[in-house]
Amino acid sequence: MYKQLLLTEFANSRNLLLLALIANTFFLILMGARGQSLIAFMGVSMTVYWILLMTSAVIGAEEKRLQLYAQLPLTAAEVSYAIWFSILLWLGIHVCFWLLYGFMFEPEFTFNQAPEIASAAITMALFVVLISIGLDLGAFKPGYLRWLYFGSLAGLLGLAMNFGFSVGLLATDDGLQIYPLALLADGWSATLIAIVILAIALAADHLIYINSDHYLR
Amino acid sequence: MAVLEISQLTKNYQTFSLGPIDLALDAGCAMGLIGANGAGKTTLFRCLMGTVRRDHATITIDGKSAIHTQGLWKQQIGYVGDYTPLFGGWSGKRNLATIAPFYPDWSQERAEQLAGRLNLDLNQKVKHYSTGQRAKLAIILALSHSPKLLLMDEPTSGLDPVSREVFMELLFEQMASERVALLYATHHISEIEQLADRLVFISNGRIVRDEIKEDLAETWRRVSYQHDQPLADIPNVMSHKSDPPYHELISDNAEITMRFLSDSGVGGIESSRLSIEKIAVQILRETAEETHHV
Repeated sequence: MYKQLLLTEFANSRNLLLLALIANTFFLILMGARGQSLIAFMGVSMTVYWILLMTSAVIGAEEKRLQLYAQLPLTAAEVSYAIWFSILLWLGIHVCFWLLYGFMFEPEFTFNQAPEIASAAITMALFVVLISIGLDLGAFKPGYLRWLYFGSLAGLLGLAMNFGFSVGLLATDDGLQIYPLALLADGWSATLIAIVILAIALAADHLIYINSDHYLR
Repeated sequence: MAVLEISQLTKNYQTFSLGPIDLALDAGCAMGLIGANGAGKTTLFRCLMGTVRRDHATITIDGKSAIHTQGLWKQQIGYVGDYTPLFGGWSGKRNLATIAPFYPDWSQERAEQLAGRLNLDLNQKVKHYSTGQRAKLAIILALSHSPKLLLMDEPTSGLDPVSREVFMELLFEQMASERVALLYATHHISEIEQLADRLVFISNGRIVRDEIKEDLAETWRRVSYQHDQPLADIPNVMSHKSDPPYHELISDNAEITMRFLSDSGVGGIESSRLSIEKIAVQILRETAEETHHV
């Protein structure tokens, strides 16, 4: 069932995946030719990812798709795994482009920069998971749970920014940049922390999803 | 053997509670589920399909426990709900091809045959389908994988009269050719009047009557009699109209009612059969009044 489910997911977002490949290739050539930094390319690539992911949710009618899956001989857990697998694999394609950009256009680029790239990707994934948790809470009663969650997130973000912490996505002169979850000098520590937080957030979203009333979406 | 067994099914919302529901449905049996709007029919179907979580229930479908941590039991169900989510940007054919691999007993030949009989163009994109055409595709999805249990929740809403008739023929054929159990909810009682063996009445989230259709048709009668005044305390009377000396009542046990009238010495006692639709309406009225009084 997983195989068929994954094939359905990819078939559903095939055109957008193609668009992601084209957009990444286009910006890779354009920004590489202009000599722009890897971090700037990552920012643009992540913006492409985010826009296409949101487009996929709307055009791909994610809610309807999930309702259909709820009627098919599948468990909510299988659906949850398949959706996250495809979302993260999609992000993986973008990460491949970042590595390619580094090797092609940054002479001093080495695998020592892998933690930076990894924590940027994980932070992006975490951002998607945090939004998904809010959306999945919408399948619960009472309905204000979702807004309580988003309100709390906004409050935390405000507090963090007020106290000078860099959180998530920030726009800079070089484009949209990603700051890892913690401003740690040691890249691997930041990556490790990011992985743990991502795993917790994914588990939370999975639990929320498999315990929700899918038809209420 | 029961294809569907429901024990103590409950689902509570803030403003509505379903159950506890206990129900068993044998292979080859067609059960009509009748209830007013908001009675709980759709919630019952959604609980059975697992599209909403039940608060409590033990449900088996063809001997398999229908629990949310497993999905394979749904392979035995053909479901047409109030709304079938489909891939709008894809053709009907592509939708069928995508969903078919989830069912090991899927028959593409059967699907195409059904599309032909329902006059549905499978090459058209689903987003261009009308409500009726979407309903037809949902029906094809439900009937193409030889399910043992058919769950039909207002399946003909949106269908034109010809398609509705074709659909009823298809259901009759399916019921006749395979040992299928059918649970069918509709407001068009004439649809299940021919098809159903049992009629279950649901009101305010609870089953209020579970009747064999033939028994219902046999015991319910319109009884008329002549008397100066309407008699009081007539047993089993569901409704009573009087225009002395003529009186007419509906009884849910005509034998007892007529014996009482006869023993009371009234004259001109006559009885006539009632249509299932008329009986169903009477039962729904009665349950609505009871709910109102509560």
